Amino acid sequence: MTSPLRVLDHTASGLFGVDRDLRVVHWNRFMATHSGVPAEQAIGRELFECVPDLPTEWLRWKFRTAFVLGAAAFSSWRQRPYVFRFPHNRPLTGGIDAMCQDVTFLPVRDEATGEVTQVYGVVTDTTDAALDHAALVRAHTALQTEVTERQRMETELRLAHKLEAVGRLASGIAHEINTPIQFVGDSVAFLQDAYRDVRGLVDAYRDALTSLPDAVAPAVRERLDEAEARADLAYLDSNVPGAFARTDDGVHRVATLVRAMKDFGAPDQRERSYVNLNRAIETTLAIAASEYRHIAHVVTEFGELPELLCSGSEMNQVFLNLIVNAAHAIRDAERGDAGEIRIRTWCDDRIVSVQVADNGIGIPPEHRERIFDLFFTTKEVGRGTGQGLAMVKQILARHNAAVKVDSEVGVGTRFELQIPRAA
Amino acid sequence: MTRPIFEEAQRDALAEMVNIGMGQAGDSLARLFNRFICLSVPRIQVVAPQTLNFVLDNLCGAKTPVIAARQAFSSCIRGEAVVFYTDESCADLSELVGYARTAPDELLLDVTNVLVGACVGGLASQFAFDLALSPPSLLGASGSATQLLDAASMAWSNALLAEVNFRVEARTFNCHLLTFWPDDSLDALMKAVDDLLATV
Repeated sequence: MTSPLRVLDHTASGLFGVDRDLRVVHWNRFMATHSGVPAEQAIGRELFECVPDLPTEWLRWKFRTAFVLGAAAFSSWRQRPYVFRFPHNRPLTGGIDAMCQDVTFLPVRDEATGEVTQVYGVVTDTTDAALDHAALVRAHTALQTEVTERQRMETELRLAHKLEAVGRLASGIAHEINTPIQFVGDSVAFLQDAYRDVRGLVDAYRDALTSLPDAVAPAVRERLDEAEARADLAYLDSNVPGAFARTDDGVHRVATLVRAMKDFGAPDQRERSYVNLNRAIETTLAIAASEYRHIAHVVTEFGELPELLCSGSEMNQVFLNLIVNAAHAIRDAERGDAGEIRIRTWCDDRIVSVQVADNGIGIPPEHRERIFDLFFTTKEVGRGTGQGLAMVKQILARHNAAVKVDSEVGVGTRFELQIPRAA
Repeated sequence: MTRPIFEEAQRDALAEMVNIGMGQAGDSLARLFNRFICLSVPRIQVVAPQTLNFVLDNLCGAKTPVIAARQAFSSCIRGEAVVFYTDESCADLSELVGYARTAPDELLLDVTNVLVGACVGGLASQFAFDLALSPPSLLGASGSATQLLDAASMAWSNALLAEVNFRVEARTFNCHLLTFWPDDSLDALMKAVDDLLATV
């Protein structure tokens, strides 16, 4: 063997040659070592006979292209991890089944005729490159997941801060509205009394006038009749009481709302006091009215409850989140007029229970495990922050309370809170 | 400095050689695939990165989604070939080559290798160059030709472009093969043409 051929025989790449019948004409040491077939046994035999588990159909085509076109052909580990199933040099740390390879098929022309008479294959071990590449892909995927999650959390956090600011603002505004609405309310009550008194006085004057003989002061009588017609006393009689009732109702509603908003914005959310949960739910329903008013009607069945030592504003937050979620679920189910949120409370010796049920779209089974996870949401951006139920769970945990969920897609969802009386 | 565009005699000679080279390629491919291969008359022109988008839009359509693969070759003259396949062509590939048990990417690269090997090999034989091919790789899938071959990132100033279209009789397979000889290679190619003309 000449010395260049000896070098090729000892090179760290596989080198083999085949003739037009795909019989082996060259088989270097690398090929012999890794295939377990020594050169003396390989040379002269068909390649597919020497190495039985080759991708025959594809390989025949590769050789054919090299023979017909006289141009090199290639196989890359990126598309085909290996052509020859050889053991690799990473038995311990590889985690792969065989040596990764690039194979180049080089046509060799007969010097006299110029015809391609042989094709040589060069097999390069690319296992390390393939493993590095796989590690890079894994690292890239992990980073990408991390970045996406971080971006999502940043967005949610910004939204949460915004909501918090809006909450504080609302509480401040509520405080500002509270004083004027009180004197508006007082003044309306005063005006109602005053109107009743003045109306009584008018009646007294009329009675006095009717008791006088007709001939007395006809001119005065005429002037009074005209004044009465101008004032349209009959109209006032039939409409003023209604106007007062509506004003009173409006003022009462604004006052309730303002009180509820103040309750929500209480500075120390965790301060505990004795709270009637039925009243807390009513407060919350007043606050959240705009969320459900056009979507569902609310049915409440309040049982008699003891006053519970808990954080009222935190409990309000729990009820608010459940009620808003129920409203959203019903809206998504497009129930028309048939949307219903049913809230029931009851208690026994140990536990106060609150059930909030809706006939909304329901929670698919694959999401049920995750609904209490922070930042898990299926709502579109801007509507859900994925914090509502996570907050519910946290608050309830602080009160040693439990929450159960029953849901059926297309039928509805029922949350049941169980709060120990001695929390 | 503006590069002088080659003279008419050079252009004619080059066009003729490209024609013959591509004709040989068509013969080899027909033998390989056992099918009649329709080749368009090859077109040659000098392009700059600034005009490449216009050329590609004209060839492949500005909005037509294509799949592209490229392969470099070196001999006395270095260059790179890009093959643009229509989406439908890819579905036709496995029947064309006669084996199916392979990844779609590999099939595409195998066919690219064959087309580039045949065409660039045909040209090289006209000039009696020894041809060395590098492994092919994918440029990208599902974009227009100008999206996949980003002219803005090209670092050459002028290139000779030979373009030929392949169709296979009675099949949907259709692709464009663009062979580029940029800058220095363009000079070397013109010199080879001059040498050939001098011997005539």
